[in-house]
Amino acid sequence: MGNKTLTYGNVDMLVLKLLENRDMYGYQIIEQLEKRSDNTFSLSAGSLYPLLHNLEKKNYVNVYEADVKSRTPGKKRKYYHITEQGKKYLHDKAQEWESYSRAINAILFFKGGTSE
Amino acid sequence: MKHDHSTEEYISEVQQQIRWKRARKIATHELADHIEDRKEALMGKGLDENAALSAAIADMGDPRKIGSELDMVYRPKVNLLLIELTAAFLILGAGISYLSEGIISVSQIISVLIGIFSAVVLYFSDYTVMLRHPLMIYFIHMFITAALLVYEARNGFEMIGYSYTFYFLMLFPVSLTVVAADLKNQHRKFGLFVFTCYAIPLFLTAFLLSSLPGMTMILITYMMLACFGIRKHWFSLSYIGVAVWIGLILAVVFGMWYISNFFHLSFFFTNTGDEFVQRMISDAVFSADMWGSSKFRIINNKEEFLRENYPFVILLNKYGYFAVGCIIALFVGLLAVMIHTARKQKTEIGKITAWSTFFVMAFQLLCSVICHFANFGSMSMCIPFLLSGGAFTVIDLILIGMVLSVSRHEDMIREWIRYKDRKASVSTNESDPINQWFYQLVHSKE
Repeated sequence: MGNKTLTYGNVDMLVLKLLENRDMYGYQIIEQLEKRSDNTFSLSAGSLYPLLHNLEKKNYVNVYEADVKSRTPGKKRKYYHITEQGKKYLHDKAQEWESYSRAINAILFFKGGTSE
Repeated sequence: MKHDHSTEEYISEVQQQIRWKRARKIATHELADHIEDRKEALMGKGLDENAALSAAIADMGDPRKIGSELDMVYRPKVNLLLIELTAAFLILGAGISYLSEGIISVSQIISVLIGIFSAVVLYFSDYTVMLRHPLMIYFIHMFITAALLVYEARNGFEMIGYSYTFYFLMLFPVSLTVVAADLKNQHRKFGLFVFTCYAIPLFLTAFLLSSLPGMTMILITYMMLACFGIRKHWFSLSYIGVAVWIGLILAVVFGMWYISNFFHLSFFFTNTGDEFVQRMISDAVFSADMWGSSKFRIINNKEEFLRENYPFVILLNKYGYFAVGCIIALFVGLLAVMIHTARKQKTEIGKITAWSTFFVMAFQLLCSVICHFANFGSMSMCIPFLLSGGAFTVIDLILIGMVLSVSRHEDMIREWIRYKDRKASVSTNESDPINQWFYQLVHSKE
């Protein structure tokens, strides 16, 4: 298995992508990220929460509290919800990533000869 | 369920890295939930409780690293531009006083120091306390104002004019706004009626002071909040409610008319009636140069009167149109910063506090400008920070302190309110074990 560490610039995009489908709480985001990447990406809580708080500060996500079905009655959990601003940011980042990866692939998998 | 001691130790170590003490608990309260979730997941995979907890904590990562990153997120914001503009106005005010009077009085220095101290105290305090205890704030404010009114009315109401009572009245738009927001939260059926009852004593105080700006300010604040509240469904209003509301407003207007006849009160909304002064004002304005002092000399014994009542006339006469233009531009900058701060707020409490402080400052400036136009006459409203008395300077610095406090808490205010709500619900439900644990966490020593 390759390097599981994610660079900071890409994590926010992945987290926002997960939140685009449904609202999630912190632990759920880590679980989903591992599951959807087939255990390729692993995010520690130490990286996730500062990132989420930063996204909230930039108005890319909203936070609300909801009751949890748990052994502890009255327990509340913080759920993160992507905002319209966050969706726009995600769209821009995804496009940026697409052109970047296309350029990288074009070099890595170039099959023609050299022009010189 | 009992939380293992090491969870607290972990969170405590994270908190130690966060320098802003107020942010420590709100930045880290999710971490305990996360450890709990992870522990339950690991127990589901067959680990015993202690092993699961240790593994869950280990998975969290280095507490110092997460603490340092949260420290970067939660930093108190300093509205530097507002501080710089306020400092510029204070220096400018001192400069103008020195140039026109040849001295900066001790009382002026003391007022500025009291104002700066008040602003600093407000900056470091939690302004959301206003929303938590709006009625307490309102009634303390009202009590002080009423006590001053009674004290200053020993020689009759018509002798008070513009006094310390009036200065306290200047802060009521803030108190009244917070009371309206509180009524909204309570969803009172007769919300607007109750809100009107809070506004009436303020309006009557301004009326007894014979203060047109005071009455206008309270009336505008009241009408704006009432209309906004009706539009936003803060107050549930039936047709009967509307009728009672209109009836009350009419009763106040007729009551004012009756009382004004009874006490023979006069308002400062006509011009001075002194044709000589009016002509002097007109000459001073039209003879002012673009740069520097005008050749037209204001008679010495009228200068004090003009400084208090027509401050822009003095400024135009002494420093010319360009200087006055620069001062107005600076004020526009100050108001723009206040608007920007209000618009940026993510919470209702942040917005209403910032907008109400902006309103008082803008109203003060508008009155000091508008009195120069024909038929308005003197309103005895100083230009904020410039040629203003000590009490006005203190009031203006209190307003600036409030805006700075709003800016300081901007990024964490939602979390702060949630944390306060949770803390309140914990104290009412201490029988719940998780609440007991949380109670210990939030009350533990910093």
